Amino acid sequence: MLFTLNGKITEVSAPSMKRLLDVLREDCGLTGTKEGCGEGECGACTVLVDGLPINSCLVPFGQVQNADVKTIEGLIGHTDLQKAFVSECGAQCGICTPGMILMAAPLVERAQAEGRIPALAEVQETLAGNLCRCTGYVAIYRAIQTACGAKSEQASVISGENG
Amino acid sequence: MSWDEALAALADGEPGAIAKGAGIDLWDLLKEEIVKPDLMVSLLNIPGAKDIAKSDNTLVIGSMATLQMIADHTDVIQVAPSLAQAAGSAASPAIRNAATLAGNLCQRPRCGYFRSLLHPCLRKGGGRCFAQDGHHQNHAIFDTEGCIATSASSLGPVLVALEAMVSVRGPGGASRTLPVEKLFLMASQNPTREVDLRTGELLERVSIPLAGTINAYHKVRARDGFDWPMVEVAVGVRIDSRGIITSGRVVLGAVAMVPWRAFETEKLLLNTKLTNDVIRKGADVAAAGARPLRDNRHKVDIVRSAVRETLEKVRRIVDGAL
Repeated sequence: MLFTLNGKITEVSAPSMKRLLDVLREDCGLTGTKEGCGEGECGACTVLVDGLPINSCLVPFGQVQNADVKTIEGLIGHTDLQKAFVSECGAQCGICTPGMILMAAPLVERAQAEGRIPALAEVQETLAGNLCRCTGYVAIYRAIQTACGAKSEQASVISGENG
Repeated sequence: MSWDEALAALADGEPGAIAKGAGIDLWDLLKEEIVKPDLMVSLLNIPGAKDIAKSDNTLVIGSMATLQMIADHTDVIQVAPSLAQAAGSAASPAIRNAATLAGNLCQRPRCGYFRSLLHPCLRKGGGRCFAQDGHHQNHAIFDTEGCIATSASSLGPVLVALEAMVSVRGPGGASRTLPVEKLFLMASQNPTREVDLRTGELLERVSIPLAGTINAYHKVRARDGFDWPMVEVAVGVRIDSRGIITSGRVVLGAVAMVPWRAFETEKLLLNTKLTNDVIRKGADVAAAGARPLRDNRHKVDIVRSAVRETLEKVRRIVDGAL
């Protein structure tokens, strides 16, 4: 079956009901995409399909025929968002990080194009389906706002209840 | 693949063929061994199945439109802001990018006993409802004699409030249209099925009348994001030039296996203006007929306060429109 993987037309022979997550990791050798819950609850397996973040654990491989799939490996070259995750300490153990970055990438791209810094509430809702058990989220929110042009010390003005 | 080709493939695969949209709920059902299909027919790539378009007197939404497409569509936001809000606040952003309208309406209930391999419950054709004496904090408060799971669809109540119609296509090209309200089956009506789709029938599209219905939606949940509602309320009203309600629907979600119309509230609203007094009285009777269980009596109070919140939203829109 043919699909575009990180910009290259790719042919993979795998059962159509194999999870996209497993095809990426096992058949394509791209282990940057992580499995957390396998039920769409945690967001660790988030990849972009035709530019939209989806949970790759809930996508049968057959569904991405001719689609454009992008994984964390496809962002090599280090985007502003990835650099911000490094500078703002947005990652600790790293399991959730690829999913966090791919989930936030379209928001950052949109915000950069519009020249605005997304409000905390918008960042939080974007990441509502991505769990992190290390950072407490604050550094992740700050990284996303910083990638959109916020100064580190201005970013992520967290109100008490959300901290 | 066209609708008719999908129907033919399903007919060829009988028994044991199943139609799928994004497959979000289907994965769970496969793991839980609630479905064991021999053949799955994907409807995602049927031309036009994702289209959202306004015609002369209806807004038509294809059944394979995703929740995010519905939430973001200009016509939906203009005609049915309550639907855009319900679609845009269901599940998580990644799921909204995949999950379809048909999947939202037809997904199976989230009751933990129904989903458990260990519990042969009423809804799976077994002898008893384990939730009756078990964990039922989030279960039904209406129609609670048998299976007490609730409908998991947040779009259902909104579409009922908007008096939407659903078009169903069946074998041999036969099609029928029914009110969304009639699509859902009460637990006491049919303990093993939630929607009135017959074998080989597919949900093709939903049509919302462009009747100037003022509409609002309110959801109560424990967490602010990515959580199932404890209670949700959808209201659709039509008013005359003086702001008097000429027709109205108040529909509750997550309280029964069907979108539950609060008929007492609807009666009270008719031919009135939404004054403080009307809103208070309307909210007070919203849970009339409720028969809550040992551990979900709180939902009765939540229904009342959620209806009050929603009617206040409606009043703000009415005030702006007059």
